[in-house]
Amino acid sequence: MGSILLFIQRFGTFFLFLGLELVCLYLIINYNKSQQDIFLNSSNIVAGKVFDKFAQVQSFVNMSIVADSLAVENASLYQEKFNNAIVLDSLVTRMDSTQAFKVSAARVINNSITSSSNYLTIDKGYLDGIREGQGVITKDGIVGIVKKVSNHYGLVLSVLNDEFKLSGAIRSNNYFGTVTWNEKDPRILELNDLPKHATVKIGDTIQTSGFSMIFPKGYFVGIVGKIGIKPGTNYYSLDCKTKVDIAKLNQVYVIISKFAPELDQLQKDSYESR
Amino acid sequence: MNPGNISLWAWRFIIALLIQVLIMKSLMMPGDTKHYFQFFFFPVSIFFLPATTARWLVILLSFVFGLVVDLFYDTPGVFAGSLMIAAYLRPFALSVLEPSSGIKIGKEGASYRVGFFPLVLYSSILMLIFCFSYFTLEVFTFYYIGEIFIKSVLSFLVSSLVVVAFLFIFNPKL
Repeated sequence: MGSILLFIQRFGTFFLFLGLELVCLYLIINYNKSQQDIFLNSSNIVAGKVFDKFAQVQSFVNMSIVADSLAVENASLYQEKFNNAIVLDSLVTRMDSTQAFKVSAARVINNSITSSSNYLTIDKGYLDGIREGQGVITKDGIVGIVKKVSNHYGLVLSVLNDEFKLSGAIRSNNYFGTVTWNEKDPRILELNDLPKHATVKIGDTIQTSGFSMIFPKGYFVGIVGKIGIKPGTNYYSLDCKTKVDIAKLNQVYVIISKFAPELDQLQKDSYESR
Repeated sequence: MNPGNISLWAWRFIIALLIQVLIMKSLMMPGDTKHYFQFFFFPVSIFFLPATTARWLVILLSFVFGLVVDLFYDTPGVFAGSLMIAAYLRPFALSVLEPSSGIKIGKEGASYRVGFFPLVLYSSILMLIFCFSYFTLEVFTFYYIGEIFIKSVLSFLVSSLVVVAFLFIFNPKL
């Protein structure tokens, strides 16, 4: 008790001053608009920084959930885009143009780039609607085509595979050819069978021609690099520089095409009957 | 401050208050710069409380009367806060008044008259502290520190004129 009194005696005035000063500050802030604005502004800055940091931590914790939902959203946006492209293409209005394509998000769980026949494995399978022959893309370009499915997993023939073939066209003039991998550089594909009279420049965009319906028409494949002529033929052999880094693949999208099997069957029949 | 004096002091406070809100508040310099010159008179009543007054009482009185002035100025807490800061620092200003003979003002001993100039010095110190606190609280940010300085100095000067006049007329005891 004695020490408390001593304490009060020594510091009483200070605490009285402090207490009343705080009351004054409270009054100033609450009842004076301009001070209130300044106070709110500063407290906003301070509180804002604190909340910002907290939100960053929170978003880090939530990241995988957000990434999954973003992947699903992406898939549906791709779906819309591909289906809309068909609606605009007047040649195909006879088809049931809604929902010609469905896009499903998937993760790459295994990959290889070093052999001449590379495959990758995705975490979606038969039970998720994945079938053989479906195209796999990422936001930067073509990844491959599904080769085999089990119930929960899918084996994808990577673009970096000597068996991979894609029908690609030059964006500016629609001349088309076959896109394969030359087994040399994992970032460079080859566009062959382009007739010599086609006008091509370095830097032109190569996109999917849409002929097979595995990939929707107009999807980015690569940029023209070197232009060369296949010796002894009348056809160009172009280097196609891709944007996709197959080595770093994680999130991919599988294109479930409603009409690809039908088209495939039709073309196979017509070839066989020749 | 003994009980007999309370009514006297109450009157002094009220008169100082009236002078502040009725006269000083309306005093303005012509032109755009009017808000740079604020006339403060009321703080004088706090500064010239007897030196023997308990410190806590000085602080409490400055809080209460500061709030009353704020009511008239529509700035709740500004005047009170700044007056309290000056009141809290009063002992430091009082120590300036200690004559070189070492007699401490405010300790047991009668209050006595100090010369005119020490009084001016004492009130100037406190008035400067008061002006600075007032304008800081009014703007509430140190971003405008330049303006705060200018306002403080100018207001201090004009207020000091009033205070010196008061001192000259009344020559209060401390």
